[in-house]
Amino acid sequence: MKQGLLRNIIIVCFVFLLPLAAFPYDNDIVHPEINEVASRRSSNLATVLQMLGFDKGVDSIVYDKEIYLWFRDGGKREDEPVCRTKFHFHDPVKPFGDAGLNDIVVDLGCMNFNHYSSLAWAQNDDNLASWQKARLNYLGALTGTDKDVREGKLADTFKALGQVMHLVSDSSVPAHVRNDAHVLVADQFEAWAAANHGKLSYTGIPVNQSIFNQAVNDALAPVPISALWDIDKYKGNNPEETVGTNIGIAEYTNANFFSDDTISREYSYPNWTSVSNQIEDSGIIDPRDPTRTVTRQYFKKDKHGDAGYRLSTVPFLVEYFTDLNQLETLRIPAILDGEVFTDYASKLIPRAVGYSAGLLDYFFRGKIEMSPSEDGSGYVIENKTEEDMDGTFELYYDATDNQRKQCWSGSFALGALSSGNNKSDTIAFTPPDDAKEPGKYILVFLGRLGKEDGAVVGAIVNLPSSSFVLLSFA
Amino acid sequence: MRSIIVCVISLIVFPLFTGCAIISHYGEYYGRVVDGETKEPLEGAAVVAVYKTQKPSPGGPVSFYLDAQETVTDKNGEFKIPSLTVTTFRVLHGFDAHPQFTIFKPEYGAYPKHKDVKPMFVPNGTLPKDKYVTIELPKLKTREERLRNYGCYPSSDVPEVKYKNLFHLIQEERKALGLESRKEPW
Repeated sequence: MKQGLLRNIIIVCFVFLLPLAAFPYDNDIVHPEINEVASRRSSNLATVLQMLGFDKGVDSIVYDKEIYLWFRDGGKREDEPVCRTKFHFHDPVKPFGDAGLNDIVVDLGCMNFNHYSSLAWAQNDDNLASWQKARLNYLGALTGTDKDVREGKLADTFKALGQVMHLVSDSSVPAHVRNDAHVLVADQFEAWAAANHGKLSYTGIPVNQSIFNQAVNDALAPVPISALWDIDKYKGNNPEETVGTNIGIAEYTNANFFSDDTISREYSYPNWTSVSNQIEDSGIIDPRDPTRTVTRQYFKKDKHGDAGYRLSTVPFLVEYFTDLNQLETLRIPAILDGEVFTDYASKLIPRAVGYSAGLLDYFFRGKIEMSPSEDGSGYVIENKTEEDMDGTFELYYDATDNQRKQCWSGSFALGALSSGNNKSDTIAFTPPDDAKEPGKYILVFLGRLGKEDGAVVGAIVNLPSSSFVLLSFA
Repeated sequence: MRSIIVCVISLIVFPLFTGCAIISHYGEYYGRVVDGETKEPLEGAAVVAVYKTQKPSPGGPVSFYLDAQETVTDKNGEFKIPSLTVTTFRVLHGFDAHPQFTIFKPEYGAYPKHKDVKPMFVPNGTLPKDKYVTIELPKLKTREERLRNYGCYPSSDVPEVKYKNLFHLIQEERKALGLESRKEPW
């Protein structure tokens, strides 16, 4: 009886004491930094900001804060409240519906039994910072009546995008793509990255933009941004397909890297046949005496996908085994240390930056123009994007009472830029007589752009005032 | 039956004393900030310490703002962040033992954002407590470098009112770079 009581008390103490362990800063530093660098690298974002009048790019101020800070803020907020993080996993070897974290302890702890993968969570209706919510915010930023409301919506757009970027970046963490939850003990790669953020290289690897054409058609993730995570090219047995940037970031990470609890197990690749026979010696700081260095041995990955980096340490007894697979059978551990993580980070962080910038480029890819028709009888709208458009076009202006008002709208389809069918019929409307800046309009598109439903495109257009006379009599 | 009752009571009582962040004491942090090249002291650099708690999550521990202290370096480039005792009540949080520091002076690389700051303590962005340290900030030579460096605000959950000097120095740098200054949010 006494023993049982003692055991119960020990269990209770253990459970509640664990949170006192030292933890990293990841949501404070690494995610925000990836987001900021990505926002500075997105060329389409820079173009849109210039067009909207923010001539200092992401250093411009929107809603009392620098634009890049809104992206940083999104990078931090996606982890709050903490149970959101149960939707930050995506296993690319599984179908989208089964690819999320499935852990009963986590379910009970969060009292939430949904298992959305991060790819699906990015587009889920329950997610208040989803891609679709970012789209709605952007629509409000372009069409809202009040200037303050529009600015607030623009800030919300950047923040929501920052949260989706966080989900993309998480797929560059092996534990997040190998179903390896780390509730009470921090994932060692993330902990290392947080403690050594000054060493990380944030130079981005640009994602191949054609990846969006290869998006999987799945109701859980209807917008082709799912391709940034997973294009279903990696099946769990073909790691060679994951080389290059024409591959989802979750597929690349899953196929080429170990997480703490999946070292050559749970997944087919990488494995002990992925490493070179040549064991690499590296000098590391002696943990017992930081003024000295000692030599540690590492397995270097040289096949099965990406290669040329340290995959794990070499266990001490390795020379006694001819077949490395025995290491696992005999439970002789290889570990992942700071040197391994240095190599992992050099491959994974630039990809997180590049794919996050790719997400922004995709969000702001739409380009539309409006100009006088050739015969001067009105105007034509032109699709300057290499994707078809089908939806509603609306024209707004800022009135002398500082309200944004709609002055025209129409629904039709336009072909892609290279189709030769990318111009509208002639459009006529009565110019407003209370415009603050006569001739300046905001053209907004809402509808299907390529494979994306609910896309929003905005453009500031200057229409020559001479045409107004013609239109006024039209 | 008695065992069950004791367990239930334990479940209620133990969180109050163990798995909650309740009280923590942080030591003093002091040292000197100098120009990385000339080793001359840098007067007027802002030094901000941010204290955090952390809470476990399925995706790893998540940090939450707790408190912050700020000071500026004197004519000898010296600073001192006094010791601090914080009391709070956060269930299932643990105190982060290492406050996160930001040190900034216009035209210089910020600690820990700039890679050429020396030394870089581990975890990066922390300082050793109760130990005199000398931090060397690199002088930045190009506008591009300065643009990439000036945004060294603490994380977004730290109220600006807690780092007024840093905020003003950042706005000063923005102005020098031809950018619009932000309004004081307090």
